[in-house]
Amino acid sequence: MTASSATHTSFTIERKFAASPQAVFQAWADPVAKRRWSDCHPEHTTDYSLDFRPLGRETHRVVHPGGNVQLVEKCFFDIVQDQRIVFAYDISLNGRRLSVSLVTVQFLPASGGTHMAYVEQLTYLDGHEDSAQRLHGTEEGLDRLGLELQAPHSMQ
Amino acid sequence: MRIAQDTAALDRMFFALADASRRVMLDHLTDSPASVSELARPLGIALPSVVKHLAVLESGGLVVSQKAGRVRTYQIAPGALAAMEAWVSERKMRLNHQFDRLDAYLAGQAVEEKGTKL
Repeated sequence: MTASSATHTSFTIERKFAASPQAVFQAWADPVAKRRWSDCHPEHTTDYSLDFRPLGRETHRVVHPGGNVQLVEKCFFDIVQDQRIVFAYDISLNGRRLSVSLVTVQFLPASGGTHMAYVEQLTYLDGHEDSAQRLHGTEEGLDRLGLELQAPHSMQ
Repeated sequence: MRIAQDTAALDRMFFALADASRRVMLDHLTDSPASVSELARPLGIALPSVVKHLAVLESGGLVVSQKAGRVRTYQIAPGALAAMEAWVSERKMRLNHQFDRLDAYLAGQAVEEKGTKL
């Protein structure tokens, strides 16, 4: 690895839902519905907005009990009703950007409901405190370990 | 590849990540290195419990510690890929928890619409 301060990976999460693609898409598109399932600590959220349209933004600011401020900013690029959402988002902590991602979510009709495929391409940045040490890492492991394993819930 | 020989290490890593308190500690350490008491403060749990959690995180290869005088300081384990893997594992776990809630939300919607759609 060179002196670059960005490393990359991608991962996929596939889920099946007992609801129509229209219903699953709507759960992503509607701000009230979206917060119902995407915000696990609503009591710590200080700002939330969702402008669901191409080039529209979603902003989510959380102040954790320890005082850390996490900001997630998202921009939607491609929206195909009931079928596909493409967006980019970054995560920053106390003003330092930690990662930037491009995400494609597809909603496919499946027997009994919807097959949702979430693909995230992620750039891991040097906003992390110990990034200088991380540069000693090598690239040999990119194709091993958990990155290629499905997360525990992903195969259903 | 090395998947087979890494299985035990993976088990320890995923076990270490499978606890909300430990994920809060990792969040904290991603921000900056910290002592046991600094990690304990926002969690509101006893120091011995924090020490146990940190031992699990350390055996999971997610954090390392060093002692300076009487203070032991913890930090995210070095190595770009290990750190990125921990980050991605955490992102995936959080996403899967969100999608679990999405599933529950959709099931609730279906119940509300029962009689018209089902």
